[in-house]
Order: sequence, then C-alpha cells, then structure tokens
Amino acid sequence: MTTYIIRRLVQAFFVLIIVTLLVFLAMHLLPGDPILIFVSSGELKNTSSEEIEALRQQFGLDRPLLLQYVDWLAGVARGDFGISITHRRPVMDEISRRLPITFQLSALALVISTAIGLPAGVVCAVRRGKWVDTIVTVLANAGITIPVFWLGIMLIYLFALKMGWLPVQGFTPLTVDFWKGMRQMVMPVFCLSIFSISSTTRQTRSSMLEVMRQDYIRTAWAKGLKERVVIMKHGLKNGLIPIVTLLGMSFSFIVGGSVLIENVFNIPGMSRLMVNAVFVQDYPIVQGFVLLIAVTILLTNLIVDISYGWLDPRIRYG
Amino acid sequence: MKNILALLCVGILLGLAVAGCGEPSPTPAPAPAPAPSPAPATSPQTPKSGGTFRYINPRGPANTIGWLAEPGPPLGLYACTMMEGLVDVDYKGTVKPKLATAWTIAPDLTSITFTLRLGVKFHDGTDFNAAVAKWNYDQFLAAKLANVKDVSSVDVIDNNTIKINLKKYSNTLLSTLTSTYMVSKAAFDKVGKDGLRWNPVGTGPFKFVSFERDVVLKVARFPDYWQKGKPYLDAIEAHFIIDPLTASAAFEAGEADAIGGDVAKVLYDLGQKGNQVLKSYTGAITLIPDSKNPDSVWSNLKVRQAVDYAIDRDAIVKARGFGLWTTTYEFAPPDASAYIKDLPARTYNPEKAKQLLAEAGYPNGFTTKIIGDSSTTDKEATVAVQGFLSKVGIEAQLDWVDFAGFVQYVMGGWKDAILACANGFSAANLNQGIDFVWSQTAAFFPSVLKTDQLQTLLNESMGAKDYDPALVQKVLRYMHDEVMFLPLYCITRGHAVKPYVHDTGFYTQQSWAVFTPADTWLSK
Repeated sequence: MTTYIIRRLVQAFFVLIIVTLLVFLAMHLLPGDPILIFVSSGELKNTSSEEIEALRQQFGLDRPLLLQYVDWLAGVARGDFGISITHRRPVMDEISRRLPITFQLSALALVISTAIGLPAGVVCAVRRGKWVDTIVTVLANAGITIPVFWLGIMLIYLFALKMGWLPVQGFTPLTVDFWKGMRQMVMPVFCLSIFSISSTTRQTRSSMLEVMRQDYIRTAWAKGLKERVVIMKHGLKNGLIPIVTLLGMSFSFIVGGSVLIENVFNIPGMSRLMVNAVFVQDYPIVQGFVLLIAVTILLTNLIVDISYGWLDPRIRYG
Repeated sequence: MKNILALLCVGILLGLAVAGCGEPSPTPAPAPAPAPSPAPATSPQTPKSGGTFRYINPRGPANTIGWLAEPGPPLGLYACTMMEGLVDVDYKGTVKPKLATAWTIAPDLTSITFTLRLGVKFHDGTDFNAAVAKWNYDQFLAAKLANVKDVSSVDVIDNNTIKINLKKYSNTLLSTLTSTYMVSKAAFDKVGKDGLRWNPVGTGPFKFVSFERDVVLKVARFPDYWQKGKPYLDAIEAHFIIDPLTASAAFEAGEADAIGGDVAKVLYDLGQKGNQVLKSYTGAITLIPDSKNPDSVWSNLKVRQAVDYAIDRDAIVKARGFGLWTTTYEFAPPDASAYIKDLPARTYNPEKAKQLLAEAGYPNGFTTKIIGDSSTTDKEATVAVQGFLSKVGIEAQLDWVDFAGFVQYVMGGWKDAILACANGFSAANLNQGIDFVWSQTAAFFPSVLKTDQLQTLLNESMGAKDYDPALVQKVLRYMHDEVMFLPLYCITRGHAVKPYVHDTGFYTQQSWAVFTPADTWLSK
C-alpha cells in the first residue's frame, strides 16, 4: 500500500507541473495585458506610459515567459505564491482568507448530499416501484437538470424577497454570528448540494438494485437476518464502490458549482476570487488557485482509490 | 403523512417553477425621459444625526484605499469618505475650497499658491499643514503620476501656504488636483506605504474601521473633523455585490439604503418602485473607426460621415435606454456648458449615407468589423447598429471581446474596424476628458488620426487661464467635422436611493465616483 501511495504521489507531482504550465501558458496567450486592465479600470484617469512600464517591471511581467514560470515554481517551493497584481497582497494571504469559506460551503454540501442521497437511494432500491421510489426518482431527475444559478435566483426571489425568511446574500463566519451565518448558508448550500444529492440518489439506487439481486443477499434473507442487517451490512457495503467514486467526483462538481453560487449569493470565497482574477488576468492568483484545486482533486482521487481496498478486501494495490 | 410529504415536495418544485414563470410581463420600452441632470445638492429638511448609511456598489477598491502616490486605478468613491484634497470641483465645474481656503494663479501662469485651512487634523491626531501638503505632493511627483505631470515642484511659503510651481499651465489642473488626497506623514513614517495601503489615515469626515475584499468597507464618524457638526452619520458601509440581480434584490430586501450601477433596466425598475434615482451623464457610447490607418476604408472622411447618417440613434435610445440614455452627436453631454446646441448633426438619413458612400467609391458598400466591449456596451444596441449599417450596404461582423481583450485594442490599436465602447467624460471640464483620450500624447486609441490641428486647438483651450466653453466648442466642432468618432447616445450612471436618505451628493461632483459623505443624513 505504501509503495502504491508513493507512486501515486510522484505521478501527482508531474500532473501538477503539467497543469500549472498549461494554465500559465493559457493565461499568457489570452488577449489582454493585466497592467493595461489594471490602469484602465474605474474612473476616468490619465495614465502615462511611464506609469504602465513601472507597473510592468514591478510585477516582473517584462521578463521572458519561461523565466517568469520558473520563478513562480521556485517561489511555490518556498511557500511563496507571489503577489497579486490587483490586490498587491501575497496570494497566500488571499487564498488562506478565502479557502475556509469555500471549504465550509463545499464540505457542508458534500455531507448533506451524502446524508440525503445515500439513504434516499437505498429506500428507492428497497421499495422499488412503490410511490416513494417514483417520487424520489422524479425529484432526483429534476435535481440533476435544474441549473444552479437559476435555482439560486428563484430561491432568492421566493425565500428572501417574497417571504423574507432568509437574507438575500452574504457570508458571516459561524464563529462571528452563528445564526446569521447559518441563515445565510441555507440557500447556497441547498443549491450546491442539489445536483450531488440527485446523482448520489440515482447511483445508490442503481448500485443497490444490482447488489440486492445477488445470491449472497438471497442467502442472507434465507438465514432470517433482519432487514437492516441485510441492507446495511451485506447490501450497502458491497454497493458502495461506485457510490464512493461518484462522491469523489461530486467534490469536483461542488467546487465547480461554487463559482456560480458564490457569485449569485455574493459569497467571498475562492471561486469568486478566481473568477475576478481571470477577468483581470491576475496571473499569480489564477495560478495559485489552480494549483490548490489540482492538489485537492488529486488527493481526493487518491483517498477514493485507497478506500476501495477498505470497502472490498479483494482489491489489493501492488 | 407520506402523502402530505410527497405533496409538499411537489409543491416546492411547482412553487419554484411558478416563481420562475411569474415574472411580470416584459416591460414595454418607456419613452425617453428628460435629459438627466445632477441630483439636487441639498434637501430642504433639517439634517438629523446618527445612523449607518449602507450602499451597494458592484466592485470595491482594487489595489489600495489609503496610499495613492503610485500608479493604479483611482478610487474616489471609497477614498472620499476618509480623505480630502486641497479643492473640490462640482458637476458644473465650480472649484470649491476643501483643505485649501483660497488659491491664486500667478499672472504669468507659472504657479498656483494655496492658502491651507488651519486646525485640520488627520485621523491619527497629527496636524495638516504646509509641510505635510508639500510632502504629499513630493510623493506624487516621485511616482511620476499623470495627474501631476504639469507640476515641477512645490514650495512651502509658511505654515499654511504652499506654492505649486508648474512646467506648463492648464485649466484642467485644479480638476486633476482634486484626486490628490492628503495622507498623514506621521502615519507614513510609522507604517510605510504598505501599512497605509489598507489602513488609510486622512482628514476626511470618516475614519477607517475595516475592509474585507469583495464584502464590505466600514468607516466611522471622525469626531475631530474640521467641519463642526459634521458628519451627520455615525458610520458608512460600502457593500460590494457584483451580480446586478442579487444587488437589486438585496436593496429591495432592505439590506442597503442605496445601490449604484450603470444597468439602465435595473435603475429604471427600482425607480418605478418609489426609490429616488440620482444620476448623471458619465460618458457616451461611441463608434471609433481606425482613421489613422491609410489602407483602411475608415480613413476616408466621406465613409465616416456616411455611417454617421446611417444610424437611427433615436430608435436605439427609445428601444434600449429605459429613459436613461439620450441621443447625442457630440462629445459633450447636453447639460455641459460646452454643449453645442446648433451643431449640424448628421441625423438619420440613409439616402444621404448611400450617396456619400458612392462618392467615396463604395456604391455597393463594403464589409467591416465592429469590435464591442462586452462589459460596457449594450449588445442589442450594437446589433441594431449592425442592422442600420446593413441597410446602406455595409456588412459589419460583430466581434465581442471581454474587457481584457478590449483594452488591448484600446491601448494597442486595431485595423479595418470600428470599436464600440463607452467613452467617459467629465462635464465640469471637458478639456480633461479630451486630453486624457484624444490628445496626441494620450495612450488611448492609437489607431485614431489625432491631427496637429486638433492638438493646437486643444492646447489653446487648455492653456486659457479659465475654462472657456467657447474654446472647447472649437475642439468639439473639429472632432465632429472630422468624424474622429461617432457618439451614439449618452449613458448615465445612477444610484437608486431609499426615500429616507438625504444629501448624498451622488452625481453633484465633478467625478461620478465621488459623493458628499459629510452632508449625508438619514430621516428614518
């Protein structure tokens, strides 16, 4: 197992280099110049070419591309992700302020989608063809097809503007004001988790239906085991592998979905920082963000792969 | 129970769907409203003290809120609550005292002497005086900022008098000096510019409390402010919400007292719901041909004139303006002192356009490209322009680029195309906007032919001791005759403000981004 993990980590290192290099080149190949964008935004203002050149030198954008990339990599190795062009603050400061916000929303969405999707899928499989299966399946199909930004706007309209039950927007850390923070999180977390709840429900139902037809399940029923034991111990555990794979992928979907949700609900998370940075071509922020996301996704996949061995002892890693 | 749960689930879904479909029927395009003019500066009621004024803006300050002596975008909207310059200039161009109580322009136009206000304190308790003012200007000069490009040096005459020596006089100088905000030297000595960048220490009516990027900037009343009895408010919060729908919903839900923006439909809708809409012209949407390129069809004056005749501006404004746009044929907004009332406008005349195209050697028209800035230009209006051009035989392909890509064209140039974009101006002193963008030294629009004759006229207009609308009109007439660009419609920026908010001063100042926080008060 240790050898397997080390091999995966070495692979991950090269994947990270390739990903960051591609993003670096893509950002620099896009039309536009971050310094020109920087001085052109906002109010009407005269700008001299000296000002523009001074800024370009200040951020090292006057140097060859390869040198800029190598410098950035060397900085990352030292834990220095560079200075944001627009914010003029260390990228790490910005990321460390934003990351907990996105992480809190994403983790909550993942927990909720698992807590609802898994039992809902099991119930559907066990009660196949009954009214509960029909209703949950219809809702799951709807949940997969509803665009999250539309859902977000509708929720704001209904629950914030019309009923006044929830605040329209914003984010308050739970440590600052627990109830305000919770109320602000209801709609964004619902939007973030809706797709994942639906897909987990569908996958669990399908996986459980497959497992429940197996001989060992029939044997378990024949032994007179309780329904809970048959379903949870013999059925669910054996049906979990595709579900765990899906949950690993759900994390990527949730992080991707947070780009829209943070914008709609005005949440100052990582995704909003990233979107703003892409528009103004703030290279250091974009590169830092991509590196972080790539590391997170690679680690998630590694954990998912390792969990296969725990779920099915027949799986061994060489 | 199960049935109730099932019905509830279905009900929620139906409710969401109905909410989605329940949007009121499309708003008919309103008739154009009278031309906007700046909001009244003062309210007839007696100001009441206390309260927190919360306003929403799409974006917060980008790179600094406290250290301005370095290149970067200006930030008047946020800095004006905490910092002040020597003078203020209002929307009509009147220069008003601020940290300077008086100023004298030398007869030979080589210097301006400012008498500084006594008894002004910075937020850190230190005094504002001539030495601090000189030190501030030295920082701007050392940073080689464009807004002090005509200043050579600053001398201290006595404790409350400084003399600003000039390389070249321009009547735009006092206007540009409004944004050179004074910062505490003692604070700089203590924390440096990195410390000041996010912890402003100025002389303004409010002092800095906290700033959270993309969330909120909070400032609180400065008790030692030099205008006794002001400010009226206890605090101001600037909230940053980028999505216009969310911002407008937050405003309607009572999460803010004012909302700023340039989305005409949003402002129109909020105005219809009983809110005050304060607004002013901030620029014109223009088509800018690459007239400098001799190989381009746009270098031909008759072609440019033809296009000017080909577009029905009134129809576009009526369909898309929601009462916030005004047809224009010139660079000056209708309420500017330099606005030319008798300008021979090339009003919609497709036959004349075809005739001019034939005279230019293009009887069957030609193909070209319109490069649009997707962040500032209304897409439907530009499609309408495309349609009008097609009617006279000009087939224009639309090329929408984001702000990043568009800036590259604006600063780097373009070929065989016209740019469609917002072109900002300040009605107070149009020389400023023309100098920033259309002068030969300006970094913007290098593909536009900026002739020596234009530069001579501009120098003459800027070099006059006082701003002279008649001289500006000469520049504007030349630009119109040469069709350097085609203004289509004036756009306005506005704030929707709740009825209990008074004397914000939005759009009463030279810069749309500055308001009057010391005068603002709430009657609720």
